[in-house]
Amino acid sequence: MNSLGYSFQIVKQIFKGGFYKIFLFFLFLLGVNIFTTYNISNIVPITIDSIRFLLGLTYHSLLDLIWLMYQIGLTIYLSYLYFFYEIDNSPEFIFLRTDSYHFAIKKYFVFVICLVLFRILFYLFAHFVFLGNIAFSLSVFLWNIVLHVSIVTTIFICSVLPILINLKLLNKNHSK
Amino acid sequence: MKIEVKNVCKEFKGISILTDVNMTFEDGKIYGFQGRNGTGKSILLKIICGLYKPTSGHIFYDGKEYTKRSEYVPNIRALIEKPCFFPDLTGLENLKLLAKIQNKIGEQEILNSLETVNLITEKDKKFSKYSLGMKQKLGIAQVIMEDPHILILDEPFNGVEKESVEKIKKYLLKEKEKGKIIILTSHMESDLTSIADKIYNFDGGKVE
Repeated sequence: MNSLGYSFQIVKQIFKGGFYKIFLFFLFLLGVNIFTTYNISNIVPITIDSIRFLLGLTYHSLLDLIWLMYQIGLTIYLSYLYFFYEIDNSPEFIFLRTDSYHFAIKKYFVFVICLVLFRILFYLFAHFVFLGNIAFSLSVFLWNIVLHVSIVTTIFICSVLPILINLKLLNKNHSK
Repeated sequence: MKIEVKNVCKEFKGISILTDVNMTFEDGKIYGFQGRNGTGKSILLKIICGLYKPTSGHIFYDGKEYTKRSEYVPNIRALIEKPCFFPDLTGLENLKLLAKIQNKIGEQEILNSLETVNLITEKDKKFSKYSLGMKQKLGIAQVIMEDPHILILDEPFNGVEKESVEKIKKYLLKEKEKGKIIILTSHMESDLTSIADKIYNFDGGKVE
């Protein structure tokens, strides 16, 4: 049974549906970070350390913390949108065609793959923008991936899997 | 083979939606659920499909209980309430995506189902551009395309024009002759009387 295409389509749908709300704020925060890092009056010179936090490599100021919390919040929000997508969108289309447990597992891996790809793309984007100003740190880069994958895994195990294993508990969503 | 609904009750937050419902659905028959909105028709369909667990009571199919298991009645397809497809995909692409999950059918079967519901000329239109009736027809095509043994259609003719309604009814009567179990709901009695072998009336949580 192949439900991978369906899962990828959900990722695409969520990305497109929430693009303006989510990613404009993402760009806004990135802009604030760049603005404060470069300090347009040029009083503070650019240093490698001040750029590193843009990639989530170091956390040593309130802004870094906001940036980190925002990224974690974004991961949590997208995880919930993604994992519970079909509950509000004709669940009978998918759950009468495939085993809900295997569907959930495949869906989890699709999300993790997309998350890792996003982190890599984001890293490459920032790396090339600041080409020459920053050295690649594999361990910190991997730490970021581990952090976000752990968040998704925790959400999946604690709140998604128990519902999908026994989907008949879905009643909570219904009011009619 | 038959589906048996035995003493099914359903409550939401202490409010009773269904009270002691007993029904049997046999092969080769069309069943109609009739009643006002909010009388529990869709809830019972969800319980039969296995999407909801009843507060008490049992669902049997072919003698096997499905009420508490995390599995669903086999070879069943349903359209319950508003059909939600991916808005950026065309009608055909949406059906292909769903058909790929089991890989039992090819493009020809999908096209046949679109033909049956009179949607073949709009198959390449994006779902977001579909009218209410077209969305409903795509939902019906999703139900019939894989030739299931049990068809569950909740208010299938909402917004669908008369010509297509007649064509779909003819199709359902043909499927009934093949021995399938078909369950339809409607708040319009006329939608059901022309094709249903038995009509259940829903009122205040009770079914007659």
